[in-house]
Formats: sequence, C-alpha cells, structure tokens
Amino acid sequence: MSAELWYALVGVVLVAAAFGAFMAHTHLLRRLLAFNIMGTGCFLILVGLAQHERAPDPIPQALVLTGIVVAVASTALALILFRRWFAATGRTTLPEEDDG
Amino acid sequence: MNRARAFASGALSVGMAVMLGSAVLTREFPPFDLAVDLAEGIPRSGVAHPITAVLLQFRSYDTLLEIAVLLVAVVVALALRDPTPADESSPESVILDSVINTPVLTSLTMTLLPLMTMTAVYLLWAGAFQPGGAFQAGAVLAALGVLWRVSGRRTGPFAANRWSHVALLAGFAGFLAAATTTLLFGRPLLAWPSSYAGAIIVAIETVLTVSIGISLLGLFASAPAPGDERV
Amino acid sequence: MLTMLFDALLGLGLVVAALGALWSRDLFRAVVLFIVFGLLVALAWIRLQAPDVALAEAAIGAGLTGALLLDAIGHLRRTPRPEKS
Repeated sequence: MSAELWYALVGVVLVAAAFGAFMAHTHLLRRLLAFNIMGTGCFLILVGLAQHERAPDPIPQALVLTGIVVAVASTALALILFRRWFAATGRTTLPEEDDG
Repeated sequence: MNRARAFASGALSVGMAVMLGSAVLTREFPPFDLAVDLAEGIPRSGVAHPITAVLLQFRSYDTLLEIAVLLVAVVVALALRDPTPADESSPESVILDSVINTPVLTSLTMTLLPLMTMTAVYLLWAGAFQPGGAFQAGAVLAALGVLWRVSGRRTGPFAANRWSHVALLAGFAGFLAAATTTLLFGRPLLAWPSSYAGAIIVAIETVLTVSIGISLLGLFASAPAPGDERV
Repeated sequence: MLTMLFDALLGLGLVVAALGALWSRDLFRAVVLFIVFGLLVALAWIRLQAPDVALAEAAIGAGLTGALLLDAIGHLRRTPRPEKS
C-alpha cells in the first residue's frame, strides 16, 4: 500500500465517521463540524486515489483548492444563519428534532 | 439521544465505510492520463506552475464559478448582518463583539501589517512558478483583516463605503470581463491567447486576491452581535 | 520505513482528532480539536505532494474556519437567550 492509498483510506474513515456523527447529532454546530470533516475526507480520497501509483497530479489538487474555498464560504454562511436562528429562537436545534 | 437514533447512525456509518472502502480499494484507472496532457500544455499556458495553470487556464471556468459562490456568500452575509443602530450616527463608533484589546495584540498587529501585506503580494507573484497564487495570498490578507478587527481597532461597519463594494466586486467582475472579452475576439469563452496568457493570468489573480481577502474578511466580520434579537 | 511510520501516525492522529471534534462533550473543545485536525490535514497534504493545498488548508481550512467557529461559540455563550414564546 502506498502512502497515497493510505491517506485515501483515512479519508474513507473520516467520511464514514463524520456521516454517522452528522446523523446522530441534533446540535447544529456539531452537524456543521461533521459536514466539514466529511468534506475534508472527500478531498483526501480525491487526491489520494488519483495519485496512487502515479505522479503528483495537479488537476485534483486544483479541484481540492477550489473545494476548500467553497467549503469555508458555505461554513461561514451556515454560521451566520445559525446565529440568526439562535438570536431569534434561543435554540441550537431545528424544531423537528425535538421529538426524539 | 435515543437508542434507535444511535443504532441507525452507527449502522449508516459502518455501511458508508464499507461502501467507500471497497470502492477505493477496487479502483480502476481510466485508460487516459490527464497529467500527461497537462504537462504538454504547460508551455503555452503562460505560467510555469501547473496548479496555477489548471486553475486559471485549463479549468478557469471552475475558478470563475468559485469566485461567484464566494461573492454570493458575502452578499447574503452582508444582507443578514444586524443593521447599524439608529443612535450610532458616526461610522467610527462601532465596537465589535470579539475584541481583545491588549497592548501586545495591538502592537503585534501593527508590526504584522506591512509584513503580511508583503507576504501576500509575494505569494501572489510567486504563484506563477511555485506554490502560491491568488487563494493563498487572499487568505493571508483575510487573516490580516481578522487580526485588525480583533485587536480592537475601531472600524466602521464592514462594507459601509464604496471602496469596499468595489473590492468585493472587483474579483468576479474583472474575471467575468476578461472571460467575455475573449468572445469579442472570436475565441471561445475564457480562452486566453497564448502570447498574452501570462499577463492576463497575473492581472486576474491580482483582482482575485483583493476580492478573496475582502470576501473572507467579510464572512468573518458579518456575524451578528450579541443582544440582537431582531430577525 | 520511517516515512511509513510517519504516515501511519499521521493517519491515526487525523482519525483521533476528527473523532474528538465530532464527539467531544464540550463544544469549545470540539472546535479546538477541529483546528488541530485542520493542521494535521495540512501535514497530510504535504505528504501527498500538494503544497498549494497545504497552504490553503492551513490558512483557510484550519485558520479561518476555526476563527469563525470560535467566534460563533463565544457568541453562544455570551448571548442571553431570549424568551421563548
């Protein structure tokens, strides 16, 4: 197993763990953290798989670069929406989550 | 959380791991290798660094849309920020929520201001032939802006004046203008002519850096302040 | 051999930091572990021969996202919750 495949598998574990946490948690900030970790895991899979037994490939690296910027933009927006929601209702979960 | 939810999440997690893991381990590579085509195309792309070439020459459409996404996020963030209270008539009187007003941080910020600006300009220029480029330089500028705001400098509300609007829009507008100008010359969208490609890419990266820095700072600075119960 | 050990430890550290960020009881600790996770991912990008991505991940992924999350958590603590109608 090359280093790149190892990191791709680490990415798989990250995606799976973060997906489970996303489903399990109801607190919106924890879901946001899980979403970010899922995204990072996807990036690791993308680059790790593309460079396994091949030369460093600039195309998936450029795609990941774009992905990181888009991820921070959506995280920032989600945080602003969350703070608006919290200021309006005082809750950190969505209403339909309350009934178990 | 109740047991049903915990069990379901665990099962989904394990299922995802098995699915993705088997997909990763039984991969098949496509018969072509894009990296080879890329290496052949670098000399006529205008820049020496392959990532910059991919971002601004070969897949410039993705970068254009990414800047658009960033702009949309900043616009929504600005739309959702709390309106300036009516009694704060002078723009300098906004005191920020997350301020750490210590002498160390203040003097550090003043020392770092020229250094980080220089670092950002160097990263932008170096992106043509080594790791660097518009995004990294923009991130350094955004970090500088965050330091500036957190260290207690009194600033007006973010994006209150025309120049910040110009800075926010310049990246996307400049990129879009350059992209559509190629149409006027009979070339496809975003197809830079080989002889000018280097200069065009550096110019676009410059406005992109400014825009990315201001946009990322705007995303940080547009968070609502405490006590703002108005929706 | 040494690089294999480094990769193994880094991968393990990534998973442990991510699990801590996902499942910490204290939200502040979760965000701090998320920042740690971001910096370790930057190291992983270096090992994957992607220095541009490492720069961007460290600055934007760990730095700016961490600052945004810490700001949000501080705001959560400081805001008195309004009356629920």
